[in-house]
Amino acid sequence: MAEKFHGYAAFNKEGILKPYSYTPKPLDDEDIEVEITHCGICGTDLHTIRSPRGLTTYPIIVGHEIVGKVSKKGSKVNNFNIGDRVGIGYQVYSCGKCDECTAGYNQLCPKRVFTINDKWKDAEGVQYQAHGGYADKIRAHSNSVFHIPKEISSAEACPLLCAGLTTFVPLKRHKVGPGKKVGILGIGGLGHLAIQWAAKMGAEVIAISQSDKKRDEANKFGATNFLNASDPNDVEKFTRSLDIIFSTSNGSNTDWNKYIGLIKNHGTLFLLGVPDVPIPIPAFAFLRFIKVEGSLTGGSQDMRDMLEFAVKHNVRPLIQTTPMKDVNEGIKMMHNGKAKYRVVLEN
Amino acid sequence: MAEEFHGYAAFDKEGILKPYSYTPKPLGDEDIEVEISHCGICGSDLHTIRSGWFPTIYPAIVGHEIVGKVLKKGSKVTDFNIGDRVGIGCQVYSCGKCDECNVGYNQLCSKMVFTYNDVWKDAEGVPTQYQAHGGYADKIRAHSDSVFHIPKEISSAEACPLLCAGLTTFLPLKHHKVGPGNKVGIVGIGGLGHLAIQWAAKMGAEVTAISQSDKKRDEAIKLGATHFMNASDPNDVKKFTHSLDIILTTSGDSNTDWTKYMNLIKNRGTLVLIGLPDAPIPIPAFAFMRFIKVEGTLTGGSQDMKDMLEFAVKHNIRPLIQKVPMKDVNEGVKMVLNGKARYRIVLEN
Repeated sequence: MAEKFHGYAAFNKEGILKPYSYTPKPLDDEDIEVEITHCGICGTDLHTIRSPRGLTTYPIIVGHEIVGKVSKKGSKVNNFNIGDRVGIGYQVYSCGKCDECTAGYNQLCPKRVFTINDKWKDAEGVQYQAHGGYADKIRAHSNSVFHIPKEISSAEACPLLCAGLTTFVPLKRHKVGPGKKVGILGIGGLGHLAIQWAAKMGAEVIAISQSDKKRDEANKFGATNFLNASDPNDVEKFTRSLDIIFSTSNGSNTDWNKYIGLIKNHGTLFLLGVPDVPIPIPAFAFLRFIKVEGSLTGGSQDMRDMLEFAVKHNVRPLIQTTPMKDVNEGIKMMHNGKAKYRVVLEN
Repeated sequence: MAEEFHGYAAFDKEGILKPYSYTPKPLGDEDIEVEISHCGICGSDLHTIRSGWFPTIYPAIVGHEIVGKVLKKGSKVTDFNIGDRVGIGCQVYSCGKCDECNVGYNQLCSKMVFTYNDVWKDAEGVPTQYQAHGGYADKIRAHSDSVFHIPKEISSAEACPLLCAGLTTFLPLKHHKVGPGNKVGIVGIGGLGHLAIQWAAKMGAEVTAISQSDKKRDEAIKLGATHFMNASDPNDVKKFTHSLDIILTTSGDSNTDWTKYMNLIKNRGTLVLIGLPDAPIPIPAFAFMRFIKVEGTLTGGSQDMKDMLEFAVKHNIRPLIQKVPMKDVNEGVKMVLNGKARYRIVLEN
C-alpha cells in the first residue's frame, strides 16, 4: 500500500479543517523528508483556505512555517543528516540553475513549487499535490530546507520562515540602517518582526498603528517613535518625514493617501501585505517621485541571512502555541485578530 | 497705469478661452521678460482649463511650452541678452538653493512657482497678488533659472513641445539609464509617446511601441520603434509577455487594464506612469509579487532641460507638430481634445 502522510485539510471555502491523508511525492535523490514538530499559522494559510479568488484546489493541507526533524533523505543529500532540526518556508522546490535562482530569487524560479496549493511534477508528468505543514510529515527539495540555528526554539523559528523572511528581505534590499527613517504600518504578525529588524539594522523606526493601544509594545520591539494614524496631529507631525514605509496592511479600506503623505519626495511605499484587490494609488504621489514596490518571501540565501541575523541580534517573534489537533481553534484566534502575534501548532 | 500682458484665458470649467489682460509681477533682479512667439498646447493645459486635477484659479491663461525672445531682463541676469531666443517650460521659479534644487530636482523645490495656475511668492515665501499666467499670451516673466536658450538647430515652433512633453519623457529614460540591451515599452503613441519612442531608440534601446490598434504601426516604426504591439490583439499581447524591462505609459486611467501592461514586464521590471489620470490608479497587487516597481515622474529640473535640448540637437529629435495662429486658440484646443492633433499643436503669435 502506498505510503501516506496525515494532516488537517480544508475541503471547501468554509474552511473547517478535518483529518485527511494523502500520498506524498516519491522521495527523490535530492529530497528531504521532515517529521513535523511545529507549524506556524500565517495569514496566507487563511487566505488560501477561503480561496477568495477561487484558486484553491481542495482538499488542501496548508501551513508553510514548518519546523521538524529530518526523517529520511535522498542519496545525493549531503548537507543534512537524519535527525537534524530543519525548517521549510513557502517553497518546497526551486531549480537552483535558472537566471532567477542564480540571482538569488529562488521564489521567482519558473519551475518553483510552493509549499501549499501547488503541484509537484515528476519526469513522466505524474502530478502530486503539494501539501503543507498542518500535518505529520512533508517532503521538500533540499535547496528549500534550512538548518535551524540551535539558539532559536522550534516554535519560535516557525514564524521566521515566512513572516520573518517576508519582512527581512525588503529591509535588507533597501539598505535600511543608520540615518534612514522607516515607517512600519501595522503592528501584527508581520509588523512586530519588521520593527525589530529595522531597529536592529540601526534605522529610526516609526511604528504606525490605527490607535494608541500598541504604543508600549511597539517601543518594546524597538520603535523610536509611534504614530497613531487616527490622530490628525500625529499624522501632521510626521508629514513627509519618512524615507520608506513598509505596509503590512492588506485592507482594501486603507487610506493610501494618508500614508503616502508621510513619505518624503523620492521615497518608497513598500507593500508587504498583498491585498486581493487592486491598490488605488493616488496618482499625485507619483509626481513626488515616490515609488511603489512589493515583494514575495525570499530566496534560499536570504533565508540563511535572515536566520543568522535573528541569532546575532536576538530577534524573535511573539508566539502562542496550540496543539496541532486544535488547529481550528488556532485559526479562529488568527481570524479574530486575537493572536499576539503568531500562532504556532505543535505536534 | 500698470503695465498689462494680454492673452487668452479660461473663465470657468467650460473652457472657452477669451481675451484677457493682467498685471504681471514686477521684473525682479534675476527675472527675464519674454516676448512670446510660440506656445505649445499640452494635455495639462486642457486638464487645468477644466479643473481636472485641482480647482483652477480663474481666469487662467494656460500654456507652458513657451518660446520667444528676451525683451527685458533684471540687473543681475548675465547669461541672457536682449533678443536671445529662449524657452520656458512648466515652471517659472525655483529657489536654486534647497535640497531638491541642489540634487537637480528644481521641479520639487518647495518654493517653486508653476508657469500657470499658481501665485508668485515674495522673498519670504508669502503669496503675492500676482498670479502666474502662461504662454497663450503676448508676454511672460520668469526667473532666469527657469529660462533656457533654444539651440539654433531647433525651430521655435518645434522647440515648444520639447519644453514639456520632451522633458517629461526624456527624464525617466535618462534616470533609468536606458540604452543598448534594454527592452523598453512605450504605451500610447501621441504627444508624449512619439517623443518617448524617439528618445529611447536614439539611446540605443530596443523599443516596443504599444497602441490600442494597428493604425499607428508604420508611424511608430518610422519614429524608431523596433517592434509594434497591438494591445487589442491577444496574440500580440501573449508574444510580449514578461519581455520588457521597463514600460512608460503615456496614457491610462482608472479604466485601463493595468494587469495587461504589468504582464508585459519582466520580473523586477518597472512601470513608469507619465500621463497622469484624474483618479487613483488601481495597481493589481499581484504585479508586486514579481518585484515590479511602479513609479511616476514630473517634468524635469533645469539641468535636465539643458541635457534634453542638447540630446535633441545631437540626435536630431523633433516633435511632429501642427501650427495654429494664437487667435484661433480655441480651435487648437479642440483638435487636442478630439485626439486629432498629430501630435502636438503649437500656437503662433
